[in-house]
Amino acid sequence: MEVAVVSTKNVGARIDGGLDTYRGMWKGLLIAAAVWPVWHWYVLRVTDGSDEPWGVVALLSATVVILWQYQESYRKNDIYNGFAASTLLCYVLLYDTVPPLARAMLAAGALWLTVAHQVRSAAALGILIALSLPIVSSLEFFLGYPIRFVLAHCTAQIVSLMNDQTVVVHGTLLTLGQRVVALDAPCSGIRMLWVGLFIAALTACIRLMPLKPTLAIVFYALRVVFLCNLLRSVCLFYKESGLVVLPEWTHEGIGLLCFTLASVCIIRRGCIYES
Amino acid sequence: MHYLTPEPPLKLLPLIALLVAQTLINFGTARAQSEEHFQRTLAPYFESSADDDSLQGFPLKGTDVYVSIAGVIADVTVRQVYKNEGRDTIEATYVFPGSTRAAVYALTMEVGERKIVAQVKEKEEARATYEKARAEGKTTSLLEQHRPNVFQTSVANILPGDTVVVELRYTELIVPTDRSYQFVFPTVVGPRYSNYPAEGAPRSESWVENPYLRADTPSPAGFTIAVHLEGGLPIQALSSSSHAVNVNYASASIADVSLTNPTARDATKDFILNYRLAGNQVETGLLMFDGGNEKFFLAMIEPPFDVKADQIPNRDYVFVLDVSGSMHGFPLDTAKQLMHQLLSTLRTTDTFNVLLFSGNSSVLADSSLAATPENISRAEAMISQQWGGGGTELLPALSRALKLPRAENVARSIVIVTDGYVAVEREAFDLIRKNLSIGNVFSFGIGSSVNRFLIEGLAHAGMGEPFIVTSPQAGSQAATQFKKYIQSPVLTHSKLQFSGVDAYDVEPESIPDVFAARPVYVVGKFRGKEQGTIRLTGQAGKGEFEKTLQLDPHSANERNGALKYLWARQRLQRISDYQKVEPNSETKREITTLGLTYNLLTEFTSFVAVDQSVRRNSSDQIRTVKQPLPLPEGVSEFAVGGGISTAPEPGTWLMIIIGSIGLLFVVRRQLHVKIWK
Repeated sequence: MEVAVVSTKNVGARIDGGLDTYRGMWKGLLIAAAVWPVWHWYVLRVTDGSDEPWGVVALLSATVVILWQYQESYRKNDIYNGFAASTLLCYVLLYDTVPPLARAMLAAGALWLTVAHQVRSAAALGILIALSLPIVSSLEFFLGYPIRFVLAHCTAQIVSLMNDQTVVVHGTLLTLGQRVVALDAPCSGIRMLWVGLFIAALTACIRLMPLKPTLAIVFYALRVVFLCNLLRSVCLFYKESGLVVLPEWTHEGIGLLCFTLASVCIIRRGCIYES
Repeated sequence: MHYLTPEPPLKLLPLIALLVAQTLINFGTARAQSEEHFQRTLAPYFESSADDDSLQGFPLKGTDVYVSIAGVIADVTVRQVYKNEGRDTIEATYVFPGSTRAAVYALTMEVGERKIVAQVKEKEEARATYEKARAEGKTTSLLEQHRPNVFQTSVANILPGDTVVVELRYTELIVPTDRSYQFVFPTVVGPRYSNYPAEGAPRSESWVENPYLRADTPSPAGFTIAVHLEGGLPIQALSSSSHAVNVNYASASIADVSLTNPTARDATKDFILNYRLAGNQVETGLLMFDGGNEKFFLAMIEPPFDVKADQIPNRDYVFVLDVSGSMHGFPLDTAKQLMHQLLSTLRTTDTFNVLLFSGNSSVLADSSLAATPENISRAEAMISQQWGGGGTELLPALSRALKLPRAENVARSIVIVTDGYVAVEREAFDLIRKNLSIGNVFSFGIGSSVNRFLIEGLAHAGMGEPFIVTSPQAGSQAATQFKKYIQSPVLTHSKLQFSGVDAYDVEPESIPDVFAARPVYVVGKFRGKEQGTIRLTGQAGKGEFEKTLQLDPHSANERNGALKYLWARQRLQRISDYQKVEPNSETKREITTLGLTYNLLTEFTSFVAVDQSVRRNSSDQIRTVKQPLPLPEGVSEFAVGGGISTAPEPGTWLMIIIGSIGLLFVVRRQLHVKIWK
């Protein structure tokens, strides 16, 4: 029985070779040490309560992927090393100028470029590293209202088609007669999007997808999550407006059901991939 | 790269999901139509009575207000006339506003020829007394406080044809701003938004569910107001900015004001009366009242009208700017613009410092810097580099700001700029109150949903002013207002000393600086004879300032009986700030004791009056009628509607768990594929 080329053999080699197998990682570790202010900021940021700390989960996942897939000289490394050095240089030059999150992105980019040529699913790993940064509140700030605006209008159209009354939209407020439902900040679906992308990236890592399939599954995840969020919005409008009488626990239940549907679609997409 | 063909059932998964959802919707809709009830929150609604008893739906026939202002104390009598023009016995409830400074101290009820004086009782006890009298068929009235500025009158057993008059009295201190006195009588409570579930809502919240009239429907209840003003000094510039009024002068210092042509629209906006009194120096005044068991005093310090440049002492500012994660983006951008405008108001003779805080804090300099263009540029550069991140550790930042070294003879103002998303309000108020002698505190709340309780509480505790800034344009206006308000602190390092008199329970505990725009008043109690002195010292623009007030036995005036209510109100306001956050039993007891001792309406005490005549058989029905309120002027009908529900996402950790379970299938799939290969 053939054993997996990437997984079992490498693990065996790593067990036999011990730390020598990771000797090529010294560059990455050196860069990680050099950007220690970013680590300091990161720890403060994820523990201060201003953002959800789930980026740590993505960071740990990325670490596991690196340790699992790491292979010396998997790809030609000159180009990657060059880009890594350039990114690190940008980090140093722009340190005082850019905000902390941008600094963290440059540092993360340099780290990723250092190991990207030595892992099979480099693109997916990069996405995991990006998701590990505390970006949810920033995404909420910049994308939250536009998403809610689009959701509100789509929801209004769908519900109006299914009812004999028209749903009126005022910004992100949906009005049906005297009933008003607001799609406020926690309704934007940014968290669903984050988890959806996390699942897509991790699926791509596990399935050892190269660049194109990784991008395909990521864009697929974006579409699916949006559609499932829309489905959630429509269902919850019926519940919250009182058109449908359901117990309170179904509020979260409907959300989880819609998210499960999205997860199933994403994972199914990853499972049917074959290189 | 190619994809395996998915199994047929999975292709139909989306369709199956839609079918299930549609089934649920149809089933649920049928249930909803048959039961017609759904979870909702408290919300105001539109009155829609159109039956024969429509007149009975408006039991309040009129509100007559009589205001007597003597100097800086206003005594207000509000007469509410209820009449039952229907066929059923009714209970009328009416929600109405009041001044947040009002000390409601009396309530009477007139039923025909009988006049019943209400008693103040603990809130639940008063409610029980009222319910018992209602059940027994006795005409009874209850006055409750739901908010410091929202009250409710309930009158039960108003028989057909009955007229019941409820009269309440309150007193308040009128504190001038910019040398201009303003008396405000609020007329209507606007529709309120609440996300409190309607089912099981307590009385302190259920008042929100009140009927409102449509915007184009005038209220059938009449409204009149008459003001008798005795200024003590010649009155200048007496007018109303809200209503058309007639002014008659009995003398240079006495005037009577009334509405020109009272209409229903007069009750849809606050009545605002503005006036000035002659005077040009920092005035001090002393009022005293001998209440038998306790003696009260009120000391008032007014700044001069025209502040000359050499009268203005040097100023020192400490700007405390929130740069935490919650300020990231728009709030911090607005705050930066505001800081730019605030820094531009500084004179070169002023000094300033900037303290930035999030999880930690950092200062521009160890001690205040001169407000030179170079130092201001340095400060602006430091501020512009902030992008918002970290926690909001307000208390350590405030402590550090209060401990920053201050030069002698300098008035310090601490300016806090934050969105207020903290949970340490009580501790912050306490810290500021204890350090009032160090400086005043002004607060700027940045954003559309700031923690107003904190912002207003900080300013209230710091004897400053709160500003809410929702946009960069609003920031410019706020900075201008702040500059105007603070540009002339006339008296700093103020201290009150009592000689030959045993003064105690003085409110406030520390004396803040005196600004040109706002006087300072101190109320307290004293023991012994009306003798001795109260000495006010401080630093003025021209140097040391001192004013001594002599307690004179002849100064105690029975007309100053309002002082006991004003003192109690002042203390209530201070301890009520704590009560809002931590309803601990000791504070509640203190508030209740104050209310019962001084006969005041409070959060935990109510007035109840019972006419002992049984006028309705207990078996007869009684109908509760909520008096519909007019929409305040300028408020659209969108303010009234059903409860607003929301649709937040499920918890992130739950989604991660679901994803993790799904990923196990991916791992299994990966191992299966490799083994199959």
